[in-house]
Amino acid sequence: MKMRKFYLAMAAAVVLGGVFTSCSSDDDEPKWNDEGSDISLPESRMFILNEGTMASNNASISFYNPGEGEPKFVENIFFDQNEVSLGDCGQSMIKYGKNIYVAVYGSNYMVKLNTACVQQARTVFSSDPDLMGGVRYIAADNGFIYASFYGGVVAKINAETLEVVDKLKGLGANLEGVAIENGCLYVANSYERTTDPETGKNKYNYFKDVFVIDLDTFKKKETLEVEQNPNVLVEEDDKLFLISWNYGRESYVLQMIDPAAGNKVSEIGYATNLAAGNDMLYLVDSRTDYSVRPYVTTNTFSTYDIKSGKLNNTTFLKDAPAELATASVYMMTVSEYTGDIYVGVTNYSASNGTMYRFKSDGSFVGKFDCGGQNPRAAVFFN
Amino acid sequence: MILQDMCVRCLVVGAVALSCFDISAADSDSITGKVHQIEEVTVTSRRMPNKVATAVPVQTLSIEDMNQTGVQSVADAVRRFAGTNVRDYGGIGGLKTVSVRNMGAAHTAVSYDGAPVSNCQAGQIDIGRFSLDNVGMLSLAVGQTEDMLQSARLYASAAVLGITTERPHFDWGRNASFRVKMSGGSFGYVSPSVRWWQKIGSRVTTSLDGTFLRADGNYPFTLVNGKDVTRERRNNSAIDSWHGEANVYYDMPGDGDLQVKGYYFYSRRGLPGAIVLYNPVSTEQLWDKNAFIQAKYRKRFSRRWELQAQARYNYGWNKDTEEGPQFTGNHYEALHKQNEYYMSATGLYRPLDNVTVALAQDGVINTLESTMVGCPDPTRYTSLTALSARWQQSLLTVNGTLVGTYITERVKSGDRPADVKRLAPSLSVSVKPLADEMLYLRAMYKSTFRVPTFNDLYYDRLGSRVLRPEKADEFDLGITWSRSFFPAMDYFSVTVDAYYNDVTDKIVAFPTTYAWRMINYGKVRVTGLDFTVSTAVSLPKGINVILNGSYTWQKAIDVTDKESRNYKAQLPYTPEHSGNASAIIETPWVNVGYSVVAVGMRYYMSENIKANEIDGYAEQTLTLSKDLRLNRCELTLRGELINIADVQYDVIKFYPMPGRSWRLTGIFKF
Repeated sequence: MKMRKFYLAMAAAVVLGGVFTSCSSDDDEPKWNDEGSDISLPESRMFILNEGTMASNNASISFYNPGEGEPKFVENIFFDQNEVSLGDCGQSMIKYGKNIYVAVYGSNYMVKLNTACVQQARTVFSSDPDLMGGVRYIAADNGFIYASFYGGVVAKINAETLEVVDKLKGLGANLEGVAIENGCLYVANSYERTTDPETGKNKYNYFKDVFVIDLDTFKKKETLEVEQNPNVLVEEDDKLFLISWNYGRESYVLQMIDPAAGNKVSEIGYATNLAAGNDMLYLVDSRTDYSVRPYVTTNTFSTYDIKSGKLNNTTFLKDAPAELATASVYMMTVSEYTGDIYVGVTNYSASNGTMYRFKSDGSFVGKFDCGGQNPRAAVFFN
Repeated sequence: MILQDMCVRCLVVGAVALSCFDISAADSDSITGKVHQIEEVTVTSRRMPNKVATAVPVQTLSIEDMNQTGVQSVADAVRRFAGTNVRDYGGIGGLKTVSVRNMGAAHTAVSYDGAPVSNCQAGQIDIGRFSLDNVGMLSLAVGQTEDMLQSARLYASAAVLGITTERPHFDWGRNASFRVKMSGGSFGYVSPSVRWWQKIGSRVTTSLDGTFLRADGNYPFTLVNGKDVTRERRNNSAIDSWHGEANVYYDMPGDGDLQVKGYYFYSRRGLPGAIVLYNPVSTEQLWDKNAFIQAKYRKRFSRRWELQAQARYNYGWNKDTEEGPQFTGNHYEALHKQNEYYMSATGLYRPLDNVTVALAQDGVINTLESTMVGCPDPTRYTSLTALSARWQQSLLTVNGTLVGTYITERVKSGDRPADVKRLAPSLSVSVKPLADEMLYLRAMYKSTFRVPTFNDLYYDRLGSRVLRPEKADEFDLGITWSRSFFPAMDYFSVTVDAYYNDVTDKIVAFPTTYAWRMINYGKVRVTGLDFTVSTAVSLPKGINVILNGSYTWQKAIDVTDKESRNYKAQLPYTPEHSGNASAIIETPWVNVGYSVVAVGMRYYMSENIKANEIDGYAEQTLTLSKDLRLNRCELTLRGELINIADVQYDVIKFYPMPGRSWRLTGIFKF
């Protein structure tokens, strides 16, 4: 069976790994921190955060080897290494130094892992009334992790110990994406659910705010006006890129915030997902036609050249499998080491997600099962 | 992410909370007469087996058998019927719905004293809220029941779970009868109830029932998270509920019968939700109020003509709240109000001695007022017409029904859905090949559909107003046999039914980028086998032994999309094997009951992979009871040990069920 082969391969890898370890020079500082690992991992590593399905406690982290050596793939490496589940709703994962930080929204905690996915520390937010709304996105700078929460709070967390050292409260309502540039944290204030006094019905209020927080003073410095319902925030080449989920527009709206120009906000076009790398933004605009049965989603891939400021509407994918044109793209990311582009597709709770891998020139490398549902984020080592 | 989260959350909340809505009930139909007869037989003589002569599978459970086998609730009883699939979110207050032969809970009608209970908002009925206190009998019919004098809505359903309350009867020439019952058990469970039956003159009887129930519900369970095995408690599971019912029965001169019923139910309960690892916070609360008043009139004009007329007004209200900083002002609240105005008339005519025809006409108005985002406060007008005919010869019975449905809807904002106009036929045949053997062969075909619920149509961003009804076709082929092998044996009966169902145009949430939307897309094929066996033996010295068993094999597969990874995968929460067995030993000293419910491995998600498996389980219950007669009073004492082996299991993944628990009940009748 597949699994048995996989375990055999894993055992072989452990033995080989042991051989390599014993042969390596003691003087070299190890490239990665794999302490406590039960699995010997190759030098090239990609860790994929699978969000899972809400209330199903099936968030997971899978390992994929983009380079040489074995193993090629480890499904749910978080469980294998730590012998507990990651939890419910994996929301956000970043790399900072030689550590991985994962924010798990449903379980409302954050965990720090080493480069082999072995747990180093964890902090639970659900016991803090200010942070009970749930952790969303994280970003790191200068020894601290900054986490956004539903309920309008940003927490400042010691990256070493995961102790919450400060909280900035009263920041709007449900906060989403975060990004750091030039000593400032940019936070998207998305929406609130409230009651319409006229009709007595519940309704959503969508906000148009991106808060700028000075990380030296940990105080709000400025509020930027953006398209309503801002969500995804990414920093690349000293600029910030934001996607607002404005349901009133023809699709989600891609904007740029330029700190060098006094945080000027400008609209680039439409995109439902993005990845930054190679001085480019890789974009996808997914639109669903609800007039046909079953509904059909069509993906349009494009690029934005950050340096030249040019939007290129031809697809950056060269020989993509046909099914990718109508799949639900849940994430995109670019390896900072190889420039490879990864497109994660979701089947929601119906089945595991699928990852499509392309070279930086857009040529298709291959696809693989994500080992969990709803691939949400990925980090690379080498 | 938010939107998907919200949608998933809304689906879950919708399923758990909104569906816990609106019951409506009415008083009975001709079943009452039959049940009454059965009761008399039960009291004066010996037990009756499940019906074997019916052309469609009908299973029954009397309150005596439920009491003696330690049945805890209506849901607990229903899971003992072959072919059912009860989704139980755990605890007394947890949502419990029943799907028959995997057609989906919305295809199962629930009738309370013969009148259909509805929930237009969620479609499925929470059977967890019905009290067993005044129930006389439960029945489950695939297709419709045999009684032709029933409402059109019951004719239109794929399966009917019938809850029949106990009709007053008086012993020792009394004019009044009282019952006081006190029940207590694990996890803070206390439930006192009172009942007063009164005879007024020779033709009028009344009954008055009141039940209070409270429980902390914070049962312990074992949480296994890899290497971490912890003992936890199910917090936020407390429930308080009140249930009151008043009935007036008027036995009219000239073979007529009028029943008027008033019903009130109130509950406040915590909804603990799924177990979420590392996050024990749970603040959701649900309040329910339901009241209805109904009248039913039956008249037998002659040997050839009979009539039944029913009218009911039903009011359902619920409130769902949750606390937390993610909500504006730390508080979230949703209110839903449903009204139902229901009228039904059925006329029955026997033109020939072996031919009966019946025409049933229902008219229903359903309204919903809700604080749901964007809810257009819909009003649904439904007309159901059922024409049925039965031809009965000594060894052959043929039933045919044609149901016509017309539905039109009005909304306060946006587009209204298209009208529904449909005809749905059914045909069943029962053959008794040997004149002196209780052996029957039966075959059934029934076509039904369920209309989109208000949630399917109007849920913000998730709903779709262009949905069509979801269609179900049922086929059944069965053999039933009953006989007695020796004088002490009351009966030995066996039923075997093989079935095939398909559900097409299934209303499902269809994933698109970030958001889901409802669509008629799913296709399900169900193949199954239900087997039941029962026997009762009356031994000397007043010892009776009653044994029952049932087994279900079921393959329910998703055949929506050949390209999908889940093509032909077993549906979530569908065990291939399930069954149960019970034994009752009645003695003059004490009655002993034992039962076991066993369910095989299932998947909790669509993909049939190891990670999605839920282990099977077997839950055993032991009951001891003793009846004492003191002058003209009767005292029953009963003790139940539930889940004897303390098996930790989930029916719904991450909704753990209680381990071993106990319950003591004292019933005093005077």
